[in-house]
Amino acid sequence: MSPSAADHPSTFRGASQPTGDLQRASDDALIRLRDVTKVFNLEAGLFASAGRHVWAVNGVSLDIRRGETYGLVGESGSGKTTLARIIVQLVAHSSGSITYAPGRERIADGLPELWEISRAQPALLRYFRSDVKYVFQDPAASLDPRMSIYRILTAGVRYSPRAMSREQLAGRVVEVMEAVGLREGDLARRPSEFSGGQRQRISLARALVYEPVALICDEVVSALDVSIQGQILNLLVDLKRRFNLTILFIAHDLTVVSYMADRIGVLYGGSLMEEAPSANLVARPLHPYSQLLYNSVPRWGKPLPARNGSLGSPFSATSTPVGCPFAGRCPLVQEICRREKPSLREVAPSHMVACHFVS
Amino acid sequence: MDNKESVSRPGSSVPALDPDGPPLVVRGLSVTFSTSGGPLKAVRGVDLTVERGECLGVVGESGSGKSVTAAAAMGLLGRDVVVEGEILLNGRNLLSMEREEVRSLRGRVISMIFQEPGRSFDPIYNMGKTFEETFRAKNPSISRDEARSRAVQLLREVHVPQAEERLSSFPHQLSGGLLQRVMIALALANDPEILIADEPTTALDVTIQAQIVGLLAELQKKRRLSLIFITHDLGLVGQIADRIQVMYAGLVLETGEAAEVFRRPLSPYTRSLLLALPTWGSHHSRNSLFTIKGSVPDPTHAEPGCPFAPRCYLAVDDCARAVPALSSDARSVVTGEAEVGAAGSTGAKAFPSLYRCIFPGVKE
Repeated sequence: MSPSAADHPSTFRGASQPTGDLQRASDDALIRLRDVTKVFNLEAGLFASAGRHVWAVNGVSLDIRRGETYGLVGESGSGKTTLARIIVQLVAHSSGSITYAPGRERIADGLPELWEISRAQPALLRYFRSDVKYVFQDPAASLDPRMSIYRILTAGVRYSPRAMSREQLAGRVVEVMEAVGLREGDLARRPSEFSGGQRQRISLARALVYEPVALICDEVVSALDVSIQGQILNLLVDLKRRFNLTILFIAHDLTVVSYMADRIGVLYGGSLMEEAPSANLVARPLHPYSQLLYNSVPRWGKPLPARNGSLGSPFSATSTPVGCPFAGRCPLVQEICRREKPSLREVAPSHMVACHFVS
Repeated sequence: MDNKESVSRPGSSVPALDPDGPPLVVRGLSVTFSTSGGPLKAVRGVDLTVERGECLGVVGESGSGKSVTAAAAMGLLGRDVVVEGEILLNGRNLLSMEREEVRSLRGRVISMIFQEPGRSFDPIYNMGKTFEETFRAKNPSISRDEARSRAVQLLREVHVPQAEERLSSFPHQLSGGLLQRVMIALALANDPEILIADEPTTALDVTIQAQIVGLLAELQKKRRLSLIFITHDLGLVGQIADRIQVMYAGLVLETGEAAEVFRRPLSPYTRSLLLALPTWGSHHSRNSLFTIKGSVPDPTHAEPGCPFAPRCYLAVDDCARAVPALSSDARSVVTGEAEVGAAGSTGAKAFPSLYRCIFPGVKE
């Protein structure tokens, strides 16, 4: 089944639009976010008080490079899940742009070299969503309990822009089941017959069926027991090598993110505070928030911080954001921080920090 | 704090009440729930001692029995739950007390805080009222003003900013971290000797978690509290605990001083866990994680042998035969309940490392 739009590449309007920054399609960005913002209405409905909004994501720009694991670390309310959902358009962004530069195979299919991801381009979005797969946090909640594993893995075929015969599909399903460490015989069983770790394997298998280019892994190990976490992390590393994947790895645990990621972005209050190669961030976090995060990582042999950070007002996403989101808790805070939002600057090679006082 | 309870105990071999003795000693505790799928043995013979002013860390995965052990020590398990063994609070067995007496000890001798602070509060009570009720449970004649001033004092002790104003706040107006501070203040309201913290930071962000754990450590020292810190997080327990007890499938698989357990884990389970987690500064391109195969056992189908055997890298046929005893030397296999008391017999003050395995501890 091929959508009619694919037969007429000229109908992909997104391809003709990118300007300036977006034109650098020759570099290695697979997915590029520029100034992405999401504002939710806090209350919806007839009697809702107008004008109350949540700024979940506020002007995030980042590149997910082809073949890398980009780690996104942040606490609750940092906007990391919203950002991930915006990328696959489960949530539409309010402003900013997301562009996707697919690989050669896609271009050979007659698709543009670079296109804008938005709900206004449903045909392109379908291709994008078959290339970029979302793996959810809680495997118990994201697998339909009434479906057999085979149906769970193949339910997406109707929406896939790529044609696959029944035999091809069956072969592929067996291949991915084996890749995630499950057996062909498990296909007839239902999610309730599996443990939490196995269900997360099923989620990964489902994401892999249609040969994705990238996975978005949103807190994929945080619901799992300690002895199972390691299995799934090892599996992800293995799958990434085997299928040449690009991964966006989202978690709240800095140790896990730095283990998995090649580059890390630190998110706070909907904004990127710092971005650096994993090793640099681990060795020398520069932003005061990253340092607080680093000091908070529980580790044997590390003394407990007596008073860790100020108890000052935490970030409130419901007021119009002015200044640095971390200003309320920052030990370095000055007047300017409450007035002016610092932009992300390169303070060392590939090491970006958004702070007025870090140089 | 009043320890005026009579020292006579039915059928107990405990020495006379020693003010410096351990306030909580658990011996051979087993807890069985009846479920539609048959009896579920959540705890299978657990020994536990916590000294005055020390922090005992209890680590375990889901189904290890760590929370059930805590609930039993608080006398919180229902009448339909079969609880066997001894839970000695200052030498007196909780399991042979009347319900009223257990209730009177709760809060005054032993107190507890829970995982999700937001769920532990009554949403229609403000903080002032919550404190008042807590004080009144033990002291019905306390005046409103006195309750308020003591509440403010407690809130200051747990570093809640603007303590007076907070008394009129309702739970939904406070953040998770602040609520957990208030929870701790409430748990300390009647000056307990023992505080059980059951996954107190699991629902909190890491930066807030560090604050709360720091606060608990501070209070433990200042008040000479016996703190039992229950968690699944090895790094966290390593930061706060003096001693560690590693639980799995209702059994203690290893116990020892925290530094010893981390430096030289003796049980293959503890070793596997430490190797299966990414350490700070490690990267997948250089270090791969040790894989623990299989999954956490189903407690309704307890096997006769070592519960970790099906997942263990050392396992041999013998492992499936009987549960190994908790001991300081390997190769002593004891079946069933006969092993109870092995830890208790080693003396109260020195804490040797004990573990359950038929193989000698692997030394590096």
